[in-house]
Amino acid sequence: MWTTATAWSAAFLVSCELAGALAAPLAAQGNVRRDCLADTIARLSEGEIGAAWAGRRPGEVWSRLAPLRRQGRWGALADSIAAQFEQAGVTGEIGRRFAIELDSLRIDLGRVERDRDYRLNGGVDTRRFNLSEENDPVERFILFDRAGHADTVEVRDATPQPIRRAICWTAITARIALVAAADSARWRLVDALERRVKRWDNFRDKGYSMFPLELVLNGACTICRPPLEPPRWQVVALHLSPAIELAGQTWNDRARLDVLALEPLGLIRYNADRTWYAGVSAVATFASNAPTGAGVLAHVGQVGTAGYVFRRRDANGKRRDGVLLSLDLYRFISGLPAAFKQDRGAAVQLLEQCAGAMTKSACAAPANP
Amino acid sequence: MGVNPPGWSHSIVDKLDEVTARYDKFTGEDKAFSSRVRIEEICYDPIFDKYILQWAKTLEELRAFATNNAIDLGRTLTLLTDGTLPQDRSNVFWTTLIDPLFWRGSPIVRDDVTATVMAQLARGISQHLDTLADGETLDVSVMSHSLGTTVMHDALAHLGSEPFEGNESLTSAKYQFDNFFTVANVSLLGPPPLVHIDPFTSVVRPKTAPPLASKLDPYCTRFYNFRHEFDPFAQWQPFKPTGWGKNFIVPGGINHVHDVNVHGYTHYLDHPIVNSAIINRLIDLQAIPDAELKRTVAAYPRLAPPACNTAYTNMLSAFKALCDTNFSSPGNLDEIIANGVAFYKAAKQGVDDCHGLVSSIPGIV
Repeated sequence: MWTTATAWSAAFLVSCELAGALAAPLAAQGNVRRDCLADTIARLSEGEIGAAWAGRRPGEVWSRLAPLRRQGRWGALADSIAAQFEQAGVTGEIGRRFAIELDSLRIDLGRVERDRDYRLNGGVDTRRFNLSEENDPVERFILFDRAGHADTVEVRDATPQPIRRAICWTAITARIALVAAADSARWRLVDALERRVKRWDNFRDKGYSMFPLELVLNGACTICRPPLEPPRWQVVALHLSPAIELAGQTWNDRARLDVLALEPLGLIRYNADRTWYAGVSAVATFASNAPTGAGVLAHVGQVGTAGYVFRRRDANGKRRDGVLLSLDLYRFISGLPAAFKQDRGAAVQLLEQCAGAMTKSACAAPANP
Repeated sequence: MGVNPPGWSHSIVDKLDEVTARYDKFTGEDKAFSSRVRIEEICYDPIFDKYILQWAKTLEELRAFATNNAIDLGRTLTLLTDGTLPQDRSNVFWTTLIDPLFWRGSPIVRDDVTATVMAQLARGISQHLDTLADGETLDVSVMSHSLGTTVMHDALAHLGSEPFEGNESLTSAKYQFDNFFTVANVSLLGPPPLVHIDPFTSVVRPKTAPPLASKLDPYCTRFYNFRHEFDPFAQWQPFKPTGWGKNFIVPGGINHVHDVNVHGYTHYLDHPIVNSAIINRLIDLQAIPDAELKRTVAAYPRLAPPACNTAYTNMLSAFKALCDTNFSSPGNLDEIIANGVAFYKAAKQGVDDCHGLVSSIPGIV
């Protein structure tokens, strides 16, 4: 059997973490890579860092900012990052452009602190300080390279080290801060998306099954469901299923008929979680030994379907209408007397056993095989 | 399409480890790739399976009922199994070609799958971000193959362009993926009216692409499109946007045959043009220098094993003819499925002609 010949595989996500990604010798790294790759920066020795830059690497700064982070003082945290950059004294056009973005960082994080909705709904732009590495035609790191944004900043080997470090180290710290400020919003999003997946799971596992035509019809019905949500209303159309009909002239002479039930049209309504549904369909039943019947069918979630079917008079002039049950419901109902009988038998056996028992342990329900 | 249960990506990761270790910088390393990146598998195949199972189960009940009760259901069963669906090759159809048909033909199945993929993406990103140590940053790339390129495109397009329940933390205005690698991109394959989200105008574009009329931001820094010259699925309606700039990368020269399944994921990844781009972008931009790459590509055999010349000639001419197929209407699903079966037959014929040919297609050995 051919199963994966064309292998239309699922996709997968690769997350590339800069830190720890590559254990290349530092000496092999170019100047700009040593100062702008997060993992490389983390591995710089004290001698390579120098006294002037001691304690100013992104990891160290971020550790020091932990109390502010825990207290939710995002505004103060942004001020601290900006102050670090100002301390480096980067002037000129690069300094001006970077300072503008730091002002935006202050505004963004200040709002995170003040505005609960902004914080919980993911208002923070986490892309702002993304550092993009390019090596064509020369090795460089680019900041603020966004659509419609002309004020990019580039750092190259030729950029003086203090400027390289001020730009890259501050950018990395700022990026980490923005991502952290968006944490709660991102997890709220995950929860919301997973609740929707749960609704789909319920719909798929507990909903009324659909034939191809119904899949198409219900898919096309835009008023039956919100975008990307499972149907709240489900159209039943030309739905075929085996069923049991209890047909006869009176309740007492009803006999079982195995029928094929065809629901030409119906409508089902789901609850919000898609764990339960109810609906009504028109139904026609076909049996090998009885005239065609027509009636109404009610759907009640996992309980099953039940309905009433009318029949025209047969050759003897008798009309044998029927109660229609889904197979599941019929099995459940027809199994009740047997189950009751079985339970009753077990109970009697237990009573007899206990009546003659000398000890409590001897009076125990029979173990399940 | 096909069988991709949870854990399906192990063979892909193994292949990436193997090809990474071929380069000087990683020679002899066992987990050269997977020890340097964190990999999160996205899996949606069980959803397709459940819908298919639902159908099959119902049909079995119907068939048994018809037999037991001497009711003629022949036409109904024919309609349900073959009539509304492409003709014959029911095994091939039910096991491999049904997924794309579901995807294009049923908005319910498509939305179910899309919603699941979106949630997995969001959880994967959030979990990885939570595990970062102080000073670490995270760049996220997405790699997908075949139907996965379409599924992932649509999931990203929704995630990137629409706040969900008011939450915009992963929209393209607030978040950006690093690389989107598409292997055998089929995001345009199918009848145009059934292509749910136009990949030319969605947010799933590199940052060098022209601005969208919707003013939404591009969702990824770079967009890679790997397309094999003899892969009919990737050639029938190739994804070829124009003017997307230098960050839309379509490497040429992918025309090797080391397996009769030229559409296969691992077959694509085996080629140095494909794997070097992925390795350089995900591990280290300087991991494979240009000189080494040129040397590796030059030494890479186009056909392997080499001793099946006639079989190669026949099989490749069949693949080429399939690639050049003119459909009666663009993306006619019925014809795509029929040609998919023809692709299978050509691959099988190749193996029959020369048993030395490698096949990753179960059933063709």
